[in-house]
Amino acid sequence: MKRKHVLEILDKLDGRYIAEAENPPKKAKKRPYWIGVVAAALAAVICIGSFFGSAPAAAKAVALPAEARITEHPIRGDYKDIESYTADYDAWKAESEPRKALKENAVGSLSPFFTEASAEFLVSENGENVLWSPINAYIGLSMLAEITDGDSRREILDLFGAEDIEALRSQVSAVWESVYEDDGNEICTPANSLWLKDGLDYRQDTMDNLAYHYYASVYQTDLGSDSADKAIGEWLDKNTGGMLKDRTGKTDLSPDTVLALYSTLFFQAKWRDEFDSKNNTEDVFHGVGGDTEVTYMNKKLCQMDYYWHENYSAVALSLKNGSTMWFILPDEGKTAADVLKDGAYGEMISSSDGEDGWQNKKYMKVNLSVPKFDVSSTVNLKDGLGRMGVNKVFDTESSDFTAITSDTPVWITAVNQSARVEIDEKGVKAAAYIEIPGAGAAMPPEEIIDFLLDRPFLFVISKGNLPLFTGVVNNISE
Amino acid sequence: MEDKQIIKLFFARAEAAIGALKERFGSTLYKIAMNILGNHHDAEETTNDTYLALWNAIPPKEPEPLAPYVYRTGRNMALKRLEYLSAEKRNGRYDLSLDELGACLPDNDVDPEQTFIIQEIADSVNRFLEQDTELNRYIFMRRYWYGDAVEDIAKDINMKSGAVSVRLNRIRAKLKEYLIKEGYYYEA
Repeated sequence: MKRKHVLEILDKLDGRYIAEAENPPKKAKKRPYWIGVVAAALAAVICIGSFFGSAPAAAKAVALPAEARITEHPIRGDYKDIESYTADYDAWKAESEPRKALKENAVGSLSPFFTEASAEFLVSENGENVLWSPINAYIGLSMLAEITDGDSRREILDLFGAEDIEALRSQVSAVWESVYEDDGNEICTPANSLWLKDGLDYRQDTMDNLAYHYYASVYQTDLGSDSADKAIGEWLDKNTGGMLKDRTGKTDLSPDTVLALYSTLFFQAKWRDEFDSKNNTEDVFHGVGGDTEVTYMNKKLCQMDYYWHENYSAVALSLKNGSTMWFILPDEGKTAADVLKDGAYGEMISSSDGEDGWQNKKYMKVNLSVPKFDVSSTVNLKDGLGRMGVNKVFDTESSDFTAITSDTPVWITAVNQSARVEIDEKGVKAAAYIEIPGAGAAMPPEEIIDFLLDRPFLFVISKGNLPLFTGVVNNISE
Repeated sequence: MEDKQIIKLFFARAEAAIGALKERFGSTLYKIAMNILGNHHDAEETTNDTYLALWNAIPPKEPEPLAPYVYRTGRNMALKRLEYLSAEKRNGRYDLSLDELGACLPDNDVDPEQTFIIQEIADSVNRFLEQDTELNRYIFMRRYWYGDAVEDIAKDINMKSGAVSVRLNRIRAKLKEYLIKEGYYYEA
């Protein structure tokens, strides 16, 4: 229907609804208070230039996120008759299948990036915990490709195995729509924003592309001022569930910042089978920094798939939203770095569901012991990206940001990602320690096995075969 | 001040009526105008024009309830101003939200001459909204009538903006289904 007629219809809507919508309904929902598995990531790309904007004005929205192009899965209980349910189901299927295919293709071309980058970024030189969100970095860096051009853009496209920017846009949209979930209970929400210096002459078509393909918000404000730092901090808090407050509160951009790009991912889910806190035990975790007393959540004789490879063993615990948390324990004498370098774990995760999936697994009874933990880290992605072939955007001479502005030379000074993951009884079941399958891919010797995570281990929270969060837990403090 | 007292001031031709109007409805009127026009200067002028238009209309009119009448007047003033401003300066955001809604309303059955069809569709939309939840009605009205950004709606009701988007998507799908059942025709 034409806009003119839409306006006429809106004009004839009942005055009661106009008056009613003056104020929000009273029962606005609150975020759930439980933990289970909660995680948040925040990637920041900060660019500076020699541009001096006009007098500060109030922050204004340049572009706002498009509506999510997602049809909700119909729930049978919501329908009185089977016909309308079937019709909605068919519509949902027709809408979601092409996206699923696109996402699968995206995963295929992204797998090398996920594995290579995890090996690059999850290295801890001082034995501290280190974690990152591959999906969050992927979405954030894709936005960077959108606002750059020439070789600066080409290097990022190559990193993600995307032929051109159109291919990348479709991939990102499909990935965003695949991971997005928020029913108020189970949450997995990516969010993106770009902040521009006041007075910077930007290209509106690029802003529109960010809003549509990346579901991004774009704001223009006096970057570098206290009020802008505060506005950014609030946006970040809101989109990371307040989990990264100690980092978001420190937003302190320099006055020569011309643009700042932020990408966030917030995740919250319950274990499909919760732990019973009555079975918890206090015991030692042999961390890199020394032994600590921690709380283990325990489960006896869980029937589940037990996975192994030449340098690790692993279990996967299901979450209610369909995601999975993998716990990967390097064999005695091996380290997380060995597992990351080898990279086979990536294949294990992405192929675990398929018929031709991971061969080294067995359905058996597992005695699990998983430590409760709350780990966080900030990773500087700049050097690692350089080693993976992304250099131009950092170069003061040859960076190319003409897709967003030709006002001034712009280049990146920092790419950081902060992440935090916390688990408790509401969310995990756990793992345990192996009687070590000897070197090589031998079958586990017993039908019952202990899986005790009492020394440094890796975890991966994945949705389908997309890695949302990956980390190495070297130490746990109570 | 209660709405009835404001009306009394208008009828007494007391200039305090404008002050009371401004205090009670000013911020929402400005927001509606800003949502439609996307420009502070235009929004402010439109809000002032709205006060004047109301001053001229009351009396003889004695709108009951007052709020919808005031907001309708403000919205129409803003839309008129939008029309007056050149087509290139159109406000992309509000147009976008109209297009969203337009996509779920019947397209080719509407003959511009047959205004009663518009009225019939509007009646159907009113009935649809009546049977929906208060929260969905709020989201629908804020987005399409008041022209709010999804992010602002989300903030008001303590939801994430993605969740509001998904909900809007579902409301539109349900509205379309409802209108089809009421006998309206959609092109494939």
